[in-house]
Amino acid sequence: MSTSTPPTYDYAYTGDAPYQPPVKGDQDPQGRWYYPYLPGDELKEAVNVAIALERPLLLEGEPGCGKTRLAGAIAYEYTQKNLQGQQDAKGNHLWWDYYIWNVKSTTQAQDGLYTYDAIARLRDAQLVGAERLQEYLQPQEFTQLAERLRNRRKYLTLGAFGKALIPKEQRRAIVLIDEIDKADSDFPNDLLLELEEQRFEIPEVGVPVSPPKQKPIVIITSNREKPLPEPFLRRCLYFFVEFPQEDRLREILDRRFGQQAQLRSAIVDAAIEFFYQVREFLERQPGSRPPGTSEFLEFLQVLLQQPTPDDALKKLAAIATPKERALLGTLIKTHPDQKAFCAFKGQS
Amino acid sequence: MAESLFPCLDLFQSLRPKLGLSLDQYDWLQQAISRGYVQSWDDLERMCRLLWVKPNPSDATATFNRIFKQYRDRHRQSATTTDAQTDPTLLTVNSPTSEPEPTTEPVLGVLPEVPPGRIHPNPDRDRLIPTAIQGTATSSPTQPLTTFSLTPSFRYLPLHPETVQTVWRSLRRRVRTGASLEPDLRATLARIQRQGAWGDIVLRPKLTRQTELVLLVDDSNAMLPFRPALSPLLQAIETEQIKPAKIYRFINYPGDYLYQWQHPTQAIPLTQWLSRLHQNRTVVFIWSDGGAATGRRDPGRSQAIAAFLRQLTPMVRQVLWLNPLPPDRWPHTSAIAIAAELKGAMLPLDAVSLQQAARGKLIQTPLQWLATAEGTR
Repeated sequence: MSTSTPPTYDYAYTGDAPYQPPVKGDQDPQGRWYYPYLPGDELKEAVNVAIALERPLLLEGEPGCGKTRLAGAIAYEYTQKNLQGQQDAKGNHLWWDYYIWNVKSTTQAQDGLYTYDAIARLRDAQLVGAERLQEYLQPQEFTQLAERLRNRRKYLTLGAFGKALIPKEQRRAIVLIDEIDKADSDFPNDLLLELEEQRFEIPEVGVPVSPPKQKPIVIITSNREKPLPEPFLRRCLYFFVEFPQEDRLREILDRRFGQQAQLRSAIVDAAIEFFYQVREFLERQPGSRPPGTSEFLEFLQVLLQQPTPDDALKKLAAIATPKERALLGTLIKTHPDQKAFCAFKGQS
Repeated sequence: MAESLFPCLDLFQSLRPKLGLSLDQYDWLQQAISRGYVQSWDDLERMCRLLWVKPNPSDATATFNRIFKQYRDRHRQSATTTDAQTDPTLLTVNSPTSEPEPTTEPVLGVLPEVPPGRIHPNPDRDRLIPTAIQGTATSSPTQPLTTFSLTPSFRYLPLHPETVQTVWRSLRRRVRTGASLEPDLRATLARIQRQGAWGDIVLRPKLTRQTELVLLVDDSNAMLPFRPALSPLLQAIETEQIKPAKIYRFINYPGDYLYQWQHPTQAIPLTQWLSRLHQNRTVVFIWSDGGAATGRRDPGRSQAIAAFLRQLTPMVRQVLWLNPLPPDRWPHTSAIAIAAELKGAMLPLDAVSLQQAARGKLIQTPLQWLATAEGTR
């Protein structure tokens, strides 16, 4: 066994252009897409402090303001910065270790760490004891069954957070715990040990998993649908992602659409003006949610795909008519809000 | 030089009780400073906010802004006094009450270090810094009276629309109710492991999310001034953000009848109304001062309410009494007797108590406080 020194990686997150994906996007071997992402200076600092202090970073903010995509952007930058030109044993490009744990209303804390298929083990135990089993299984299958039964670890499947806590490589994996507020209100408290000490236990196998040498970078997002418990908040760094101001929104569009946006600046200008009009209107409506950046990007994409700039501007001018209801639906998501906005446009 | 080893300790000490900070969180700031993230007052403020301020319902941001501003002002003052004697580029964070030390040698860990151009702060720039509360009497007596308005805004009301939403989401959580029909795999496996042989399958009730809200509003004259504080809840029901929900009126206490919210003259016999409630689904909010507004103890009222609660409680999942009067107004009135009957379910209108109560965790502190207060008077 060779005792090579572990490679050193640059963990500073810059959001700089050389490390950004191309305008048309980039796809990793798992089919996840990466698009250019433009973080604000304060957000970059928050990420770097969280990485340096080895603490989870909790992001809150309006839906669609880019909380979820931050983790992917960091992973992409690390890939570009640290793994450029490196290949795995099969000759595929290496990508940074990036795990996503999508939290659902039924998710439990253990699901992100591991699942243990005890039913399969019981089934195997039953099968081995069954009479005339040799008649139904090939000798090789029987050997596999016996081997599986002997090794309790064969029934273990690691979850996203579990994989990050047992890294295969000597680098800090990135784990995204997305929309943590969707789960039961006790869920964040059930993760305290794992977040604090970065270790967990698998009683089914009987082995505690000790903290990794390279601690994972944990990014957590929340839409603030439920208040998060104090002990959990105390262990996280907290950052509220503000909706971008117009100048930064333009920068985001430049990065996202590149030349397409520059060539059709008249459409972009009109769309931005309309978008802020919609936001201002919905902010005044009680119980309504103003559209976020991601919704605006979809809206603009529809306009930029029109054959000519005139077509796009005509479409935008007629947005309050029933014919363009689908385009309006990219920004305003409820029928009462659409009706109220069309009435408002009709008056003005 | 204990202070220089522990930079900003006095700031931490002032914020700790208010924001509930842990020592770990102070350690994070030390690490951030040692890694060079703090070079100016703005950096320090941003870093403290990132590491210490969390989105808890009590207005942590406003508290932080206020205390940080006081802290910065104190240190800027001491910076200008030491300016003449010492190196102007170095500002120590020693205790503001102590005399400035006549040392000029830079000390490791002495922070925050203010850039030279910012020793004499530009007054215009300071005015741009958002602060929630000034903390000093800044309002001019010549302020025109035309700006004075009594129109209540949600911003100033104790029950915020956001709180109403989070409370309702907590109440709508899925709970296991009804007959045990669903196989519980984990419990079954645990039983097999424990007994060493196959046994019966363990069953559990199904998870359901069927919550209905019933709001009972005290329509007595004493409660009229508090009606705007209820408006976020009423509005959430009217705009169907809270659904299904029904509203009824009563005066002082529900007697034999309740009255329709939209049709105040239409009485509904209590016995008939009680039969419509569901033991596993109905959550009842009662909006009343319980006699705290008038400051009188009315045994008749408290007994009638106790009798009503005894009929109501077994018929519903949860009863929460929202009292717009703060707990220190409850003693020596009927409210204290009702609060005792409710065993912690009488709540003042603060977000923390409401959210805890909605999650089924009743905070006993107000009741304990009341019992103590009652005993000492």
